[in-house]
Amino acid sequence: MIPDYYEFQNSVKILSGKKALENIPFELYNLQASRPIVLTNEMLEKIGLVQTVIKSFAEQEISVGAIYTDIPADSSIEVVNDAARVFREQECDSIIAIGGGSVIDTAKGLSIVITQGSDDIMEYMGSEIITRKNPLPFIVVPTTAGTGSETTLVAVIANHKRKVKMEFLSYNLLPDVAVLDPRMTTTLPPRLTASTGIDALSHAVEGYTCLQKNPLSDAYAFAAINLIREYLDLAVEKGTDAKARLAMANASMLAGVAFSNSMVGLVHAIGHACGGVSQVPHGDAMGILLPWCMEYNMDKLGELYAQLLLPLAGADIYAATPAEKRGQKAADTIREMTSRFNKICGLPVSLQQAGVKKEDLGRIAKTALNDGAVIINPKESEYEDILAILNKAY
Amino acid sequence: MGGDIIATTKVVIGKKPVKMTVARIIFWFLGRGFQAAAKHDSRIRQEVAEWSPDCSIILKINPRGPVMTVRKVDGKLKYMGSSQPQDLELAIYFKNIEGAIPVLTGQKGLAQAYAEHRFTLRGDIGLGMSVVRCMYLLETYLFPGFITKKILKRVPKKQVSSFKIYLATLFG
Ligand SMILES: [Fe+2]
Repeated sequence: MIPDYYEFQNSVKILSGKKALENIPFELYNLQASRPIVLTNEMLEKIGLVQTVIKSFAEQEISVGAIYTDIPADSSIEVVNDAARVFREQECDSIIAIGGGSVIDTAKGLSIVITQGSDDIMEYMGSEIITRKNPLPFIVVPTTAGTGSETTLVAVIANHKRKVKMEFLSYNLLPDVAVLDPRMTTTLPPRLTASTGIDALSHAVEGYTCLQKNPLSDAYAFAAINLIREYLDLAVEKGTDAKARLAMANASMLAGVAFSNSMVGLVHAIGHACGGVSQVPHGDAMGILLPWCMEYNMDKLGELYAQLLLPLAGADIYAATPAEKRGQKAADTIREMTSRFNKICGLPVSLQQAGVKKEDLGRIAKTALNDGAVIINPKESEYEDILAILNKAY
Repeated sequence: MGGDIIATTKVVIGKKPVKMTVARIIFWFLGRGFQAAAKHDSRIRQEVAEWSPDCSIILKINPRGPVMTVRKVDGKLKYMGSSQPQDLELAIYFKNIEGAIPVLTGQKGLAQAYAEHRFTLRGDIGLGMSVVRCMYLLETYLFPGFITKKILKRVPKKQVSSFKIYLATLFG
Protein backbone atom coordinates (compact mmCIF):
# COMPACT_ATOMS: atom_id res chain seq x y z
CA MET A 1 0.00 0.00 0.00
CA ILE A 2 1.33 3.41 -0.93
CA PRO A 3 -0.23 6.47 0.74
CA ASP A 4 -1.36 9.37 -1.47
CA TYR A 5 1.06 11.52 0.45
CA TYR A 6 3.39 11.11 3.39
CA GLU A 7 6.39 12.69 5.07
CA PHE A 8 9.23 10.88 6.76
CA GLN A 9 12.40 11.92 8.48
CA ASN A 10 14.96 10.02 10.47
CA SER A 11 18.19 11.94 10.49
CA VAL A 12 19.62 10.35 13.65
CA LYS A 13 23.02 8.71 13.20
CA ILE A 14 23.08 5.37 14.99
CA LEU A 15 26.16 3.93 16.71
CA SER A 16 25.29 0.40 17.76
CA GLY A 17 27.44 -2.21 19.45
CA LYS A 18 30.38 -2.95 21.68
CA LYS A 19 32.47 0.07 22.65
CA ALA A 20 30.03 2.39 20.93
CA LEU A 21 30.42 4.86 23.81
CA GLU A 22 34.09 5.36 22.99
CA ASN A 23 33.06 7.01 19.72
CA ILE A 24 31.15 9.85 21.39
CA PRO A 25 34.16 12.24 21.48
CA PHE A 26 34.65 11.73 17.74
CA GLU A 27 30.99 12.44 17.09
CA LEU A 28 31.27 15.64 19.15
CA TYR A 29 34.33 16.63 17.16
CA ASN A 30 32.41 15.86 13.97
CA LEU A 31 29.64 18.17 15.18
CA GLN A 32 32.22 20.78 16.15
CA ALA A 33 31.61 20.58 19.87
CA SER A 34 33.94 19.83 22.76
CA ARG A 35 32.23 20.83 25.99
CA PRO A 36 28.98 18.92 26.52
CA ILE A 37 26.60 19.13 29.43
CA VAL A 38 25.66 15.61 30.54
CA LEU A 39 22.00 15.24 31.51
CA THR A 40 21.08 12.21 33.56
CA ASN A 41 19.48 11.27 36.88
CA GLU A 42 20.77 10.44 40.35
CA MET A 43 19.91 6.77 40.11
CA LEU A 44 21.94 6.29 36.95
CA GLU A 45 24.85 8.07 38.52
CA LYS A 46 24.61 5.95 41.66
CA ILE A 47 24.64 2.65 39.78
CA GLY A 48 27.69 3.80 37.85
CA LEU A 49 26.29 4.14 34.31
CA VAL A 50 27.31 7.79 34.05
CA GLN A 51 30.82 6.82 35.14
CA THR A 52 30.91 4.15 32.44
CA VAL A 53 30.27 6.84 29.83
CA ILE A 54 32.75 9.33 31.30
CA LYS A 55 35.43 6.62 31.56
CA SER A 56 34.93 5.78 27.90
CA PHE A 57 36.25 9.29 27.10
CA ALA A 58 39.71 8.40 28.48
CA GLU A 59 42.66 9.59 26.39
CA GLN A 60 40.42 11.73 24.21
CA GLU A 61 40.14 15.46 23.83
CA ILE A 62 36.90 16.40 25.49
CA SER A 63 35.94 18.37 28.57
CA VAL A 64 32.61 17.79 30.26
CA GLY A 65 31.14 21.16 31.18
CA ALA A 66 28.70 19.83 33.77
CA ILE A 67 26.93 16.70 34.89
CA TYR A 68 23.33 17.56 35.67
CA THR A 69 21.64 14.78 37.66
CA ASP A 70 18.66 16.60 39.13
CA ILE A 71 16.05 15.19 36.73
CA PRO A 72 12.90 13.65 38.26
CA ALA A 73 10.82 10.87 36.69
CA ASP A 74 8.63 13.47 35.00
CA SER A 75 10.41 16.18 33.07
CA SER A 76 9.18 19.67 33.88
CA ILE A 77 9.74 23.21 32.67
CA GLU A 78 11.44 24.14 35.95
CA VAL A 79 14.04 21.42 35.47
CA VAL A 80 14.56 22.42 31.84
CA ASN A 81 15.13 26.06 32.78
CA ASP A 82 17.47 25.10 35.61
CA ALA A 83 19.50 22.89 33.29
CA ALA A 84 19.65 25.81 30.84
CA ARG A 85 21.09 28.01 33.60
CA VAL A 86 23.85 25.46 34.26
CA PHE A 87 24.45 25.03 30.51
CA ARG A 88 25.03 28.77 30.12
CA GLU A 89 27.05 29.21 33.33
CA GLN A 90 29.40 26.40 32.36
CA GLU A 91 29.61 27.60 28.76
CA CYS A 92 28.65 24.25 27.31
CA ASP A 93 28.31 23.78 23.57
CA SER A 94 26.42 20.47 23.26
CA ILE A 95 24.18 17.99 25.07
CA ILE A 96 24.72 14.36 26.00
CA ALA A 97 21.59 12.79 27.47
CA ILE A 98 22.13 9.55 29.38
CA GLY A 99 18.85 7.99 30.50
CA GLY A 100 15.32 7.03 29.61
CA GLY A 101 12.29 8.99 28.46
CA SER A 102 12.28 11.79 31.03
CA VAL A 103 16.00 12.57 30.70
CA ILE A 104 15.75 12.61 26.91
CA ASP A 105 12.62 14.78 27.02
CA THR A 106 14.40 17.20 29.36
CA ALA A 107 17.31 17.29 26.94
CA LYS A 108 14.96 18.10 24.06
CA GLY A 109 13.45 20.88 26.20
CA LEU A 110 16.92 22.21 26.97
CA SER A 111 17.71 22.16 23.28
CA ILE A 112 14.61 24.29 22.60
CA VAL A 113 15.58 26.86 25.26
CA ILE A 114 19.17 27.16 24.05
CA THR A 115 18.59 27.10 20.28
CA GLN A 116 15.55 29.37 20.32
CA GLY A 117 17.09 31.66 22.94
CA SER A 118 13.93 31.82 25.00
CA ASP A 119 13.21 30.86 28.60
CA ASP A 120 9.53 30.46 27.95
CA ILE A 121 9.28 27.29 25.91
CA MET A 122 5.51 27.37 26.25
CA GLU A 123 5.37 29.47 23.07
CA TYR A 124 6.88 26.58 21.09
CA MET A 125 4.21 24.14 22.18
CA GLY A 126 2.48 22.29 19.38
CA SER A 127 3.36 20.60 16.14
CA GLU A 128 6.09 21.78 13.77
CA ILE A 129 6.50 25.21 15.37
CA ILE A 130 10.20 24.97 16.21
CA THR A 131 12.39 26.02 13.32
CA ARG A 132 16.07 25.16 12.98
CA LYS A 133 18.03 27.89 14.69
CA ASN A 134 21.60 27.77 16.05
CA PRO A 135 21.84 23.96 15.84
CA LEU A 136 23.07 22.47 19.10
CA PRO A 137 24.93 19.14 18.91
CA PHE A 138 22.79 16.59 20.72
CA ILE A 139 23.80 13.01 21.53
CA VAL A 140 21.57 10.49 23.27
CA VAL A 141 22.66 7.39 25.18
CA PRO A 142 19.49 5.45 26.09
CA THR A 143 19.57 3.39 29.30
CA THR A 144 16.24 1.67 28.78
CA ALA A 145 15.09 -0.18 25.69
CA GLY A 146 11.55 1.02 25.17
CA THR A 147 10.69 4.69 24.77
CA GLY A 148 12.56 5.07 21.51
CA SER A 149 12.90 8.78 22.39
CA GLU A 150 16.37 8.75 20.85
CA THR A 151 14.76 8.67 17.41
CA THR A 152 11.48 10.53 17.96
CA LEU A 153 10.47 14.08 17.17
CA VAL A 154 8.40 14.51 20.31
CA ALA A 155 9.00 15.78 23.83
CA VAL A 156 6.47 15.96 26.65
CA ILE A 157 7.28 18.38 29.42
CA ALA A 158 5.09 19.22 32.41
CA ASN A 159 4.20 22.75 33.38
CA HIS A 160 3.21 22.27 37.02
CA LYS A 161 2.22 25.90 37.53
CA ARG A 162 -0.38 25.77 34.77
CA LYS A 163 -1.09 22.09 35.36
CA VAL A 164 -0.57 21.09 31.75
CA LYS A 165 1.59 18.60 29.93
CA MET A 166 3.18 20.51 27.12
CA GLU A 167 3.73 18.59 23.91
CA PHE A 168 6.38 19.57 21.41
CA LEU A 169 6.57 17.92 18.01
CA SER A 170 9.25 18.97 15.59
CA TYR A 171 11.71 17.25 13.30
CA ASN A 172 14.20 19.73 14.72
CA LEU A 173 14.05 17.90 18.05
CA LEU A 174 15.63 14.77 16.59
CA PRO A 175 19.02 14.12 18.19
CA ASP A 176 22.12 14.09 16.00
CA VAL A 177 23.43 10.78 17.29
CA ALA A 178 22.01 7.84 19.28
CA VAL A 179 24.52 5.56 20.96
CA LEU A 180 23.33 2.01 21.62
CA ASP A 181 25.88 0.28 23.80
CA PRO A 182 24.94 -2.99 25.55
CA ARG A 183 26.75 -1.80 28.69
CA MET A 184 24.01 0.74 29.20
CA THR A 185 21.12 -1.70 29.60
CA THR A 186 22.62 -4.88 31.13
CA THR A 187 21.68 -3.78 34.67
CA LEU A 188 18.03 -3.11 33.85
CA PRO A 189 15.97 -5.46 36.11
CA PRO A 190 13.75 -8.12 34.45
CA ARG A 191 10.47 -6.41 35.33
CA LEU A 192 11.56 -3.13 33.74
CA THR A 193 13.12 -4.93 30.79
CA ALA A 194 9.78 -6.61 30.10
CA SER A 195 7.75 -3.44 30.59
CA THR A 196 9.94 -1.23 28.40
CA GLY A 197 10.27 -3.97 25.79
CA ILE A 198 6.48 -4.16 25.51
CA ASP A 199 6.41 -0.39 25.12
CA ALA A 200 8.70 -0.75 22.11
CA LEU A 201 6.42 -3.47 20.77
CA SER A 202 3.40 -1.18 21.14
CA HIS A 203 5.26 1.54 19.19
CA ALA A 204 5.94 -0.88 16.37
CA VAL A 205 2.37 -2.23 16.27
CA GLU A 206 0.81 1.24 16.38
CA GLY A 207 3.42 2.62 14.01
CA TYR A 208 2.50 -0.10 11.52
CA THR A 209 -1.21 0.60 11.71
CA CYS A 210 -1.80 4.32 12.27
CA LEU A 211 -3.01 6.90 9.77
CA GLN A 212 0.40 8.12 8.74
CA LYS A 213 1.94 4.72 8.08
CA ASN A 214 4.16 4.60 5.01
CA PRO A 215 6.63 2.21 3.38
CA LEU A 216 9.53 3.54 5.41
CA SER A 217 7.86 3.40 8.80
CA ASP A 218 6.55 -0.07 7.90
CA ALA A 219 10.07 -1.36 7.34
CA TYR A 220 11.22 -0.03 10.70
CA ALA A 221 8.20 -1.47 12.53
CA PHE A 222 8.68 -4.91 10.99
CA ALA A 223 12.37 -4.99 11.83
CA ALA A 224 11.64 -3.94 15.41
CA ILE A 225 9.07 -6.69 15.98
CA ASN A 226 11.38 -9.32 14.53
CA LEU A 227 14.05 -8.39 17.07
CA ILE A 228 11.52 -8.30 19.93
CA ARG A 229 10.31 -11.81 19.08
CA GLU A 230 13.85 -13.13 18.95
CA TYR A 231 15.36 -11.36 21.94
CA LEU A 232 12.91 -9.89 24.47
CA ASP A 233 12.42 -13.15 26.39
CA LEU A 234 16.16 -13.68 26.57
CA ALA A 235 16.77 -10.10 27.74
CA VAL A 236 14.17 -10.55 30.50
CA GLU A 237 15.46 -13.94 31.63
CA LYS A 238 19.18 -13.39 31.21
CA GLY A 239 19.89 -9.69 31.55
CA THR A 240 23.64 -10.09 31.17
CA ASP A 241 23.31 -11.37 27.61
CA ALA A 242 24.92 -8.50 25.70
CA LYS A 243 23.55 -9.63 22.35
CA ALA A 244 19.97 -9.67 23.64
CA ARG A 245 20.45 -6.24 25.21
CA LEU A 246 21.88 -4.77 22.03
CA ALA A 247 19.07 -6.31 19.99
CA MET A 248 16.43 -4.80 22.28
CA ALA A 249 18.15 -1.39 22.20
CA ASN A 250 17.92 -1.64 18.40
CA ALA A 251 14.30 -2.76 18.51
CA SER A 252 13.42 0.22 20.68
CA MET A 253 15.26 2.61 18.38
CA LEU A 254 13.66 1.12 15.23
CA ALA A 255 10.18 1.26 16.75
CA GLY A 256 10.91 4.86 17.74
CA VAL A 257 11.59 5.75 14.11
CA ALA A 258 8.38 3.99 13.07
CA PHE A 259 6.06 5.75 15.47
CA SER A 260 7.81 9.10 15.24
CA ASN A 261 6.76 9.10 11.60
CA SER A 262 3.40 7.36 11.67
CA MET A 263 2.47 8.31 15.23
CA VAL A 264 0.80 6.27 17.92
CA GLY A 265 -2.92 5.75 18.35
CA LEU A 266 -5.52 4.47 20.74
CA VAL A 267 -3.25 2.27 22.88
CA HIS A 268 -1.09 5.25 23.73
CA ALA A 269 -4.00 7.63 24.20
CA ILE A 270 -5.50 5.31 26.82
CA GLY A 271 -2.09 4.37 28.22
CA HIS A 272 -1.12 8.00 28.81
CA ALA A 273 -4.41 8.50 30.60
CA CYS A 274 -3.81 5.43 32.81
CA GLY A 275 -0.47 6.99 33.74
CA GLY A 276 -1.91 10.44 34.35
CA VAL A 277 -4.91 9.38 36.40
CA SER A 278 -3.73 6.18 38.13
CA GLN A 279 0.08 6.32 37.84
CA VAL A 280 0.30 3.07 35.87
CA PRO A 281 3.87 2.79 34.49
CA HIS A 282 3.74 3.41 30.75
CA GLY A 283 5.04 0.03 29.57
CA ASP A 284 2.75 -1.84 31.96
CA ALA A 285 -0.24 0.03 30.55
CA MET A 286 0.89 -0.82 27.01
CA GLY A 287 1.09 -4.55 27.76
CA ILE A 288 -2.36 -4.56 29.35
CA LEU A 289 -4.10 -2.45 26.69
CA LEU A 290 -2.41 -3.48 23.45
CA PRO A 291 -4.33 -6.75 22.81
CA TRP A 292 -7.68 -5.22 23.81
CA CYS A 293 -7.20 -2.19 21.58
CA MET A 294 -6.14 -4.47 18.72
CA GLU A 295 -9.39 -6.37 19.13
CA TYR A 296 -11.31 -3.08 19.16
CA ASN A 297 -9.58 -2.01 15.94
CA MET A 298 -9.82 -5.48 14.36
CA ASP A 299 -12.63 -4.72 11.88
CA LYS A 300 -10.62 -1.81 10.48
CA LEU A 301 -7.06 -3.05 10.88
CA GLY A 302 -7.40 -6.83 10.88
CA GLU A 303 -5.48 -7.18 7.65
CA LEU A 304 -2.52 -5.19 8.94
CA TYR A 305 -2.46 -7.06 12.23
CA ALA A 306 -2.52 -10.27 10.19
CA GLN A 307 0.66 -9.13 8.42
CA LEU A 308 2.27 -8.49 11.80
CA LEU A 309 1.75 -12.10 12.83
CA LEU A 310 4.80 -12.97 10.73
CA PRO A 311 7.32 -10.98 12.79
CA LEU A 312 5.35 -11.51 16.02
CA ALA A 313 5.13 -15.30 15.93
CA GLY A 314 7.62 -16.35 13.24
CA ALA A 315 7.19 -18.00 9.85
CA ASP A 316 5.98 -21.41 11.05
CA ILE A 317 3.05 -20.13 13.09
CA TYR A 318 2.21 -17.56 10.43
CA ALA A 319 2.06 -20.24 7.74
CA ALA A 320 0.06 -22.61 9.93
CA THR A 321 -2.60 -19.99 10.73
CA PRO A 322 -5.43 -19.55 8.21
CA ALA A 323 -5.40 -16.07 6.69
CA GLU A 324 -8.65 -14.92 8.31
CA LYS A 325 -7.42 -15.87 11.77
CA ARG A 326 -4.03 -14.20 11.63
CA GLY A 327 -5.18 -10.82 12.97
CA GLN A 328 -6.68 -12.33 16.09
CA LYS A 329 -3.70 -14.65 16.44
CA ALA A 330 -1.44 -11.58 16.50
CA ALA A 331 -3.34 -10.17 19.48
CA ASP A 332 -3.26 -13.57 21.17
CA THR A 333 0.50 -13.85 20.62
CA ILE A 334 0.99 -10.57 22.49
CA ARG A 335 -1.26 -11.84 25.30
CA GLU A 336 0.83 -14.99 25.59
CA MET A 337 3.95 -12.87 25.74
CA THR A 338 2.67 -10.64 28.57
CA SER A 339 1.38 -13.59 30.59
CA ARG A 340 4.82 -15.22 30.28
CA PHE A 341 6.33 -12.05 31.73
CA ASN A 342 3.62 -12.02 34.37
CA LYS A 343 4.91 -15.39 35.59
CA ILE A 344 8.61 -14.58 35.27
CA CYS A 345 8.70 -11.10 36.78
CA GLY A 346 5.21 -10.01 37.77
CA LEU A 347 4.34 -7.79 34.81
CA PRO A 348 0.65 -6.92 35.36
CA VAL A 349 -1.80 -8.22 32.76
CA SER A 350 -4.91 -6.38 33.95
CA LEU A 351 -5.64 -2.85 35.09
CA GLN A 352 -6.71 -4.24 38.44
CA GLN A 353 -3.31 -5.90 38.89
CA ALA A 354 -1.73 -2.57 37.96
CA GLY A 355 -3.48 -0.95 40.91
CA VAL A 356 -6.16 0.99 39.02
CA LYS A 357 -9.34 1.66 40.99
CA LYS A 358 -12.53 0.70 39.20
CA GLU A 359 -14.13 4.07 39.96
CA ASP A 360 -11.30 5.84 38.07
CA LEU A 361 -12.08 4.21 34.72
CA GLY A 362 -14.45 7.03 33.75
CA ARG A 363 -11.86 9.66 34.43
CA ILE A 364 -9.25 7.70 32.48
CA ALA A 365 -11.59 7.46 29.49
CA LYS A 366 -12.29 11.19 29.58
CA THR A 367 -8.58 12.02 29.78
CA ALA A 368 -7.78 9.64 26.92
CA LEU A 369 -10.27 11.41 24.68
CA ASN A 370 -8.19 14.59 24.86
CA ASP A 371 -4.94 12.89 23.92
CA GLY A 372 -3.47 13.83 20.57
CA ALA A 373 -3.01 10.16 19.73
CA VAL A 374 -6.78 9.63 19.45
CA ILE A 375 -7.18 11.30 16.08
CA ILE A 376 -4.33 9.32 14.56
CA ASN A 377 -6.05 6.02 15.39
CA PRO A 378 -7.71 4.85 12.17
CA LYS A 379 -10.91 3.88 13.97
CA GLU A 380 -12.94 6.56 15.68
CA SER A 381 -13.38 6.13 19.40
CA GLU A 382 -15.70 7.97 21.70
CA TYR A 383 -16.03 8.01 25.45
CA GLU A 384 -18.17 4.86 25.60
CA ASP A 385 -15.82 2.92 23.32
CA ILE A 386 -12.82 3.71 25.48
CA LEU A 387 -14.70 2.93 28.67
CA ALA A 388 -15.67 -0.46 27.21
CA ILE A 389 -12.02 -1.23 26.43
CA LEU A 390 -11.01 -0.21 29.95
CA ASN A 391 -13.65 -2.45 31.48
CA LYS A 392 -12.45 -5.41 29.42
CA ALA A 393 -8.85 -4.74 30.42
CA TYR A 394 -9.75 -4.41 34.09
CA MET B 1 22.26 25.89 -19.81
CA GLY B 2 24.50 28.51 -18.18
CA GLY B 3 23.82 29.50 -14.61
CA ASP B 4 24.09 33.15 -15.65
CA ILE B 5 20.73 32.96 -17.43
CA ILE B 6 18.99 32.07 -14.20
CA ALA B 7 20.87 34.76 -12.36
CA THR B 8 19.59 37.48 -14.66
CA THR B 9 16.01 36.27 -15.06
CA LYS B 10 13.45 37.77 -12.76
CA VAL B 11 11.46 34.88 -11.27
CA VAL B 12 7.82 35.69 -10.89
CA ILE B 13 5.94 33.87 -8.14
CA GLY B 14 2.45 33.11 -9.40
CA LYS B 15 -0.94 33.62 -7.80
CA LYS B 16 -3.92 31.34 -7.32
CA PRO B 17 -6.83 33.76 -7.16
CA VAL B 18 -9.62 31.21 -7.68
CA LYS B 19 -8.48 28.84 -4.95
CA MET B 20 -7.80 31.71 -2.58
CA THR B 21 -11.30 33.07 -3.16
CA VAL B 22 -12.84 29.65 -2.60
CA ALA B 23 -10.89 29.33 0.62
CA ARG B 24 -11.98 32.79 1.76
CA ILE B 25 -15.64 31.97 1.21
CA ILE B 26 -15.41 28.62 2.97
CA PHE B 27 -13.59 30.19 5.91
CA TRP B 28 -16.49 32.60 6.27
CA PHE B 29 -18.94 29.69 6.21
CA LEU B 30 -16.90 27.72 8.71
CA GLY B 31 -16.61 30.64 11.08
CA ARG B 32 -20.27 31.58 10.94
CA GLY B 33 -21.24 27.92 10.98
CA PHE B 34 -19.06 27.22 14.00
CA GLN B 35 -20.78 30.05 15.86
CA ALA B 36 -24.20 28.74 14.88
CA ALA B 37 -23.47 25.10 15.68
CA ALA B 38 -21.98 26.07 19.04
CA LYS B 39 -25.33 27.60 19.87
CA HIS B 40 -27.49 24.68 18.73
CA ASP B 41 -25.41 21.55 19.36
CA SER B 42 -24.94 20.65 23.02
CA ARG B 43 -21.74 18.68 22.32
CA ILE B 44 -19.98 21.69 20.77
CA ARG B 45 -21.34 23.86 23.60
CA GLN B 46 -19.82 21.41 26.07
CA GLU B 47 -16.44 21.51 24.31
CA VAL B 48 -16.42 25.31 24.28
CA ALA B 49 -17.45 25.40 27.95
CA GLU B 50 -14.19 23.68 28.84
CA TRP B 51 -11.99 26.16 27.00
CA SER B 52 -10.47 28.95 29.05
CA PRO B 53 -12.37 32.26 29.15
CA ASP B 54 -11.50 34.62 26.25
CA CYS B 55 -9.85 31.70 24.45
CA SER B 56 -9.20 32.63 20.85
CA ILE B 57 -8.35 30.30 18.03
CA ILE B 58 -7.32 30.98 14.46
CA LEU B 59 -7.21 28.94 11.33
CA LYS B 60 -4.94 30.39 8.69
CA ILE B 61 -3.53 29.44 5.34
CA ASN B 62 0.11 30.41 5.27
CA PRO B 63 1.73 32.66 4.40
CA ARG B 64 -0.79 35.35 3.56
CA GLY B 65 -4.19 34.04 4.60
CA PRO B 66 -7.13 33.82 4.49
CA VAL B 67 -7.73 33.72 8.22
CA MET B 68 -10.67 32.61 10.33
CA THR B 69 -10.80 33.60 13.98
CA VAL B 70 -13.18 32.45 16.70
CA ARG B 71 -13.20 33.62 20.27
CA LYS B 72 -14.99 32.67 23.45
CA VAL B 73 -16.87 35.76 24.64
CA ASP B 74 -18.99 35.57 27.81
CA GLY B 75 -18.96 31.78 27.58
CA LYS B 76 -20.19 31.74 23.97
CA LEU B 77 -18.30 31.07 20.79
CA LYS B 78 -18.09 34.05 18.48
CA TYR B 79 -16.81 34.32 14.91
CA MET B 80 -14.38 37.24 14.73
CA GLY B 81 -13.83 37.39 10.98
CA SER B 82 -10.19 37.55 9.97
CA SER B 83 -8.87 39.54 12.90
CA GLN B 84 -5.60 38.16 14.28
CA PRO B 85 -5.57 38.80 18.02
CA GLN B 86 -2.31 38.85 19.98
CA ASP B 87 -3.47 36.53 22.77
CA LEU B 88 -3.93 33.45 20.59
CA GLU B 89 -4.38 30.22 22.47
CA LEU B 90 -4.33 27.97 19.46
CA ALA B 91 -3.31 28.55 15.87
CA ILE B 92 -3.75 26.07 13.08
CA TYR B 93 -1.67 27.01 10.04
CA PHE B 94 -2.07 25.22 6.75
CA LYS B 95 1.34 25.13 5.12
CA ASN B 96 -0.11 26.24 1.79
CA ILE B 97 -3.33 26.61 -0.17
CA GLU B 98 -2.99 23.21 -1.87
CA GLY B 99 -2.93 21.44 1.48
CA ALA B 100 -5.96 23.35 2.68
CA ILE B 101 -8.33 23.09 -0.30
CA PRO B 102 -9.04 19.33 -0.04
CA VAL B 103 -9.88 19.75 3.64
CA LEU B 104 -12.03 22.84 3.12
CA THR B 105 -13.96 21.29 0.26
CA GLY B 106 -14.66 18.03 2.05
CA GLN B 107 -12.34 15.78 0.07
CA LYS B 108 -10.09 14.98 2.99
CA GLY B 109 -10.67 14.62 6.72
CA LEU B 110 -8.85 16.71 9.30
CA ALA B 111 -7.25 13.64 10.89
CA GLN B 112 -5.82 12.57 7.54
CA ALA B 113 -4.57 16.10 6.89
CA TYR B 114 -2.88 16.13 10.30
CA ALA B 115 -1.31 12.75 9.58
CA GLU B 116 0.01 14.15 6.30
CA HIS B 117 1.53 17.16 8.11
CA ARG B 118 -0.63 19.53 6.03
CA PHE B 119 -0.88 21.97 8.91
CA THR B 120 1.16 23.01 11.89
CA LEU B 121 -0.35 23.60 15.28
CA ARG B 122 0.78 26.23 17.76
CA GLY B 123 -0.54 25.75 21.27
CA ASP B 124 -1.95 23.01 23.45
CA ILE B 125 -2.54 19.85 21.42
CA GLY B 126 -5.32 18.85 23.86
CA LEU B 127 -7.19 22.00 22.91
CA GLY B 128 -6.44 21.14 19.29
CA MET B 129 -8.22 17.81 19.79
CA SER B 130 -11.24 19.61 21.19
CA VAL B 131 -11.35 21.84 18.10
CA VAL B 132 -11.02 18.79 15.85
CA ARG B 133 -14.04 17.19 17.56
CA CYS B 134 -16.00 20.43 17.09
CA MET B 135 -15.00 20.51 13.41
CA TYR B 136 -16.21 16.93 12.94
CA LEU B 137 -19.61 17.91 14.32
CA LEU B 138 -19.65 21.09 12.27
CA GLU B 139 -18.80 19.18 9.10
CA THR B 140 -21.69 16.84 9.81
CA TYR B 141 -24.04 19.81 9.56
CA LEU B 142 -22.39 21.72 6.74
CA PHE B 143 -21.43 18.90 4.35
CA PRO B 144 -23.85 16.46 2.72
CA GLY B 145 -23.91 12.90 4.08
CA PHE B 146 -22.01 11.27 1.23
CA ILE B 147 -19.06 13.55 1.96
CA THR B 148 -19.00 13.17 5.74
CA LYS B 149 -19.22 9.43 5.34
CA LYS B 150 -16.03 9.56 3.33
CA ILE B 151 -14.00 11.97 5.46
CA LEU B 152 -15.10 11.10 9.00
CA LYS B 153 -14.12 7.84 10.64
CA ARG B 154 -17.58 7.76 12.18
CA VAL B 155 -20.39 10.22 11.41
CA PRO B 156 -21.92 11.71 14.58
CA LYS B 157 -25.71 12.07 14.96
CA LYS B 158 -27.23 15.47 14.24
CA GLN B 159 -29.04 17.12 17.13
CA VAL B 160 -30.80 19.65 14.91
CA SER B 161 -31.33 19.78 11.16
CA SER B 162 -28.62 21.04 8.84
CA PHE B 163 -31.21 23.47 7.50
CA LYS B 164 -31.42 25.15 10.89
CA ILE B 165 -27.63 25.48 11.11
CA TYR B 166 -27.54 26.85 7.55
CA LEU B 167 -30.16 29.46 8.38
CA ALA B 168 -28.28 30.48 11.49
CA THR B 169 -25.02 30.56 9.54
CA LEU B 170 -26.42 32.84 6.85
CA PHE B 171 -28.70 35.07 8.87
CA GLY B 172 -28.12 34.30 12.55
FE1 LIG C 1 5.11 4.29 24.41
